[in-house]
Amino acid sequence: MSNTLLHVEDLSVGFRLDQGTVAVTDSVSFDIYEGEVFGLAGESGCGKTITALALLRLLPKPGSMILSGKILFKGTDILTLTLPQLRDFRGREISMIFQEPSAALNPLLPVGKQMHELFEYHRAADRPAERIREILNRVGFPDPDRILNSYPHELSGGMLQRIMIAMAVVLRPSLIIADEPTTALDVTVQAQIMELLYEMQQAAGTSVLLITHNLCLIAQYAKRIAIMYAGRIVESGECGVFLDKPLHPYSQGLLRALPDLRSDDPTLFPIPGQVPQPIDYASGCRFIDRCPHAFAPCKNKPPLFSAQNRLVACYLYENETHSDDHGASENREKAL
Amino acid sequence: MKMIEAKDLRTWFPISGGVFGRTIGYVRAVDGVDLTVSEQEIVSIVGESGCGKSTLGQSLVGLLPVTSGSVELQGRTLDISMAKSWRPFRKDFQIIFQDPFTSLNPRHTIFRILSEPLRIHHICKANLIRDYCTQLLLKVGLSPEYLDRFPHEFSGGQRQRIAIARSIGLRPRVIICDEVVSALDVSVQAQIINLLLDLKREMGLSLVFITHDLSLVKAISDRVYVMYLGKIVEEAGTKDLFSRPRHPYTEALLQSIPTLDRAIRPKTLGGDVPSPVNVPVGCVFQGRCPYVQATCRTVHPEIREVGASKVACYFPLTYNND
Repeated sequence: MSNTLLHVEDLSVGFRLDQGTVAVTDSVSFDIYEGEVFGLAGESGCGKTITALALLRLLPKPGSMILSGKILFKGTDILTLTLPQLRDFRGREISMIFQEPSAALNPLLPVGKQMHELFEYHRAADRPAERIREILNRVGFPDPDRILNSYPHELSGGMLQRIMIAMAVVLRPSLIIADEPTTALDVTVQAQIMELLYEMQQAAGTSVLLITHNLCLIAQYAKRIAIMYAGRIVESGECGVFLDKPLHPYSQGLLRALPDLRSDDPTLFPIPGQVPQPIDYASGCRFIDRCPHAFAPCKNKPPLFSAQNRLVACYLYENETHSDDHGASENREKAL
Repeated sequence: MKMIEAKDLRTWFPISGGVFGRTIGYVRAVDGVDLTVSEQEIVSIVGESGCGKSTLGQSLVGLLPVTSGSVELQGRTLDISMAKSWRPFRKDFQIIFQDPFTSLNPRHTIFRILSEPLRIHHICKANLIRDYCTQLLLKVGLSPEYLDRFPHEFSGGQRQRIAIARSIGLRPRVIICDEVVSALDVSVQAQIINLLLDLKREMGLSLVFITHDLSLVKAISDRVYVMYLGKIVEEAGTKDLFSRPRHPYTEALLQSIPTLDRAIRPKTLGGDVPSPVNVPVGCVFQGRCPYVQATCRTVHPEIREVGASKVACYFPLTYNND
């Protein structure tokens, strides 16, 4: 088994509201191994972006904070880094691609200037100009000079996202966080961008945390997957195993609600009800109101049970867990 | 009967420039579109952003001034030069918009939002309006006690239900649904689509879905129009379109969608959609088409019948046993 690159343990993020501090994510744990694409999926408001921001300590301030947890990157706890250390760390070790490329770039500076800043800041390469031309070439701009002198508004969304990818990989980080990298783009452009990202990932052996609401993208590109619902991870494991047979009722509902291009059956199966707001989060299982299988134990918070080669936070699988602790923890290791 | 019949419809937006604000060009958002919608039919218009699909939808119901062409609604020809010619048809032709956060007035209660169109079109007596609105809410699966609340108290899915309630209150014959679920989560998307399909069956509606989501199109529609740069490039029954796409653009669209099946990798199409200001000479798709030939660079091909579909391409894709 390959080495763990990032280890997130019991990460909870809170927002300060009038009513007091509300935890928007609750004990999120996952591992990302070297050289793999890890998919984090969930609907809007489930806490996936907040988790990503927390990894780089980019949470909006004031108002939000990390309540508890550990984020170990190559053994160093990111939460203990000092601000100067953190600045050096961002971009060099972990870089991020945001959803809206036109919002992530400075509209007043030419693209080339912004790429140069990256090198000036990290004092990275001897001849940054050459590196920039080379990387722009690799992300599909045959004429980099024209791009370097363009302002963001002169370029299309797909071109801007290619530039963001170039900026994310140019310092050769170990992990790229891609938060909904293609949501703002058209399908034909989405395919271009995902293929490019995947190609860069494969070539450099970088790990990628792919955050998206689009399960199909994760199915295509990720090796392992974690499904989030209302601030908690409800199921995680190998992507193929998960897609063959999702265990958590929410995962099952999510897959059934997706219209499938390959099937001829036009019926859609919605999940009844709606996603709860953080302020209304139940103390037990948070899917209880929408779950067709809800029963008495669901009033308590479900721990992650290891069943059928993965972790699932649902009491339906309580009895499938190995009785002896040793086996369970071994299984847990395997699934993670 | 044909509910909507549009021929050679054009909606161009002038671009003004220079010191005196002269018109220096046009954005050809909709450029020569033929489209029909029959009674109780579900028609989808698909395309990428900027292809003119929303402009087309709004032009059909008179929300945008049409530049040229002809529009017939319920068999009657409209004078497209006057906005008021659509007025008698407003009741029967409703539209629901993409973003339920901006399509409901934040200062009005749900009751006011639902009752305003009823008053304008004299749908029911003043003393019965509240009952009528209650019925509407029940019909879209919301509790009647929501009548006195404001839009900000509802989630996206609930707001979209309110927008649906508002449009069905007038007992329309056609509802144009402009990206009605793209702002919603997957689990809620299916709820809204199923609601619209139920209402369609119950009220005998025709639906026009404007969307970029091909999986959704496949699940719900009878017939599909594929749009690219303001033009219809292919029109076909849903089955034909998905099993044997004829236009290279349709094929590329279908192949670029990721599916849950890990064995099938999406294929990529190079390039970006060109701007509708500088439409390329010849076929609109020639800049990105993998099968482009010299003929394609002359004039845009007329739409013609190939097999069971209609396609605007000089070299449409062919299949065995055609």
